[in-house]
Amino acid sequence: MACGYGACFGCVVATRDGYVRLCVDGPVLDAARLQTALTLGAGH
Amino acid sequence: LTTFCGIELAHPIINASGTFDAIAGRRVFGDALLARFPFAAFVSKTVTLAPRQGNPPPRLWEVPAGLINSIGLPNKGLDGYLAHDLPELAELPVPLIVNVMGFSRDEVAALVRAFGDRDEVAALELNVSCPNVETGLLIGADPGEVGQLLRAVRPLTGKPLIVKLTPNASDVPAVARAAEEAGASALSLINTIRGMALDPRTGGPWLGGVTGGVSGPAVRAIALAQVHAVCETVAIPVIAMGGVQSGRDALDLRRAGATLVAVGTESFRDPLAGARIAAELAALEPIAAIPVNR
Repeated sequence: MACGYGACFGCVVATRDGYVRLCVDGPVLDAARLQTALTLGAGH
Repeated sequence: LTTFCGIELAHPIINASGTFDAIAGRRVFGDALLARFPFAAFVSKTVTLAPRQGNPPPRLWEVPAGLINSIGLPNKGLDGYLAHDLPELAELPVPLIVNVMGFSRDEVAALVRAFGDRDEVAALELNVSCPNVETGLLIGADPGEVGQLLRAVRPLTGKPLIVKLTPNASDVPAVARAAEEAGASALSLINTIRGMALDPRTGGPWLGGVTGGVSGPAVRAIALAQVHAVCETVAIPVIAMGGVQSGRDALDLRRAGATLVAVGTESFRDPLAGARIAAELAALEPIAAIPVNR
């Protein structure tokens, strides 16, 4: 990853609220916000 | 002091659009960022009429001496920017330059109109590295498109209009000349150079956006050549950028004719790179030979 302070927008992860920057909005996110197989349900 | 389009600046170093988020930076570094703000003016990330999520990740790939990015211009859209970003950016201790992009002349006109008489805004930068959805042409690659765009939006504001040129054009000086003739106040270059990386495991594109833009020291020699060619062609001021890491790199671009120099990728390594480069340039310029034709 490039900057670590919110400048480059390179570290985004998809959440239910759209992409968030892990460096400034994380690094730990509530798992329920993430778009994972568990939160999206079967078939993913 | 440096004067650019009538704007007084403390030194000639600013940021490249999209490489520094002053709002996030203030959250991370606090008011220390304002006390030691690294740039003489702040150029905000591209604003579009509608909000954009940006491209799916992965968005970055490191190359020798540089970086490919495919960020996709995420932003809150014009209304979100006016409501949330502009009030915070107006608190910065330096003049604000707002970078805008539209997918048609009407969209660009709406953006220019929205910022055209705002006291918080010192100048506007037009990102023309996008297709005109009405003609299908990459606006910034075509002198005719750039000329028509400028003629449409020039009457809408008295503020300086900076055209950010793309290096992905066959004749960059021709685009520069078209922008100048149609009323551009200044030019900025270079934007990133189109590049690509493959996922070593799958053989498919690594970047979510498939291709991206190469920046960093890898593009510095290309930037110098394009800045030199454009400065030989136009009389309006030029903001030069492309892989600047040191005062010496900034001096090279000033010697090629640039009025201001922007720092981009280097700020990812060091948020205060702009201040360091400005100090290095200030130490070098009094003893350096700079052509008088700037």
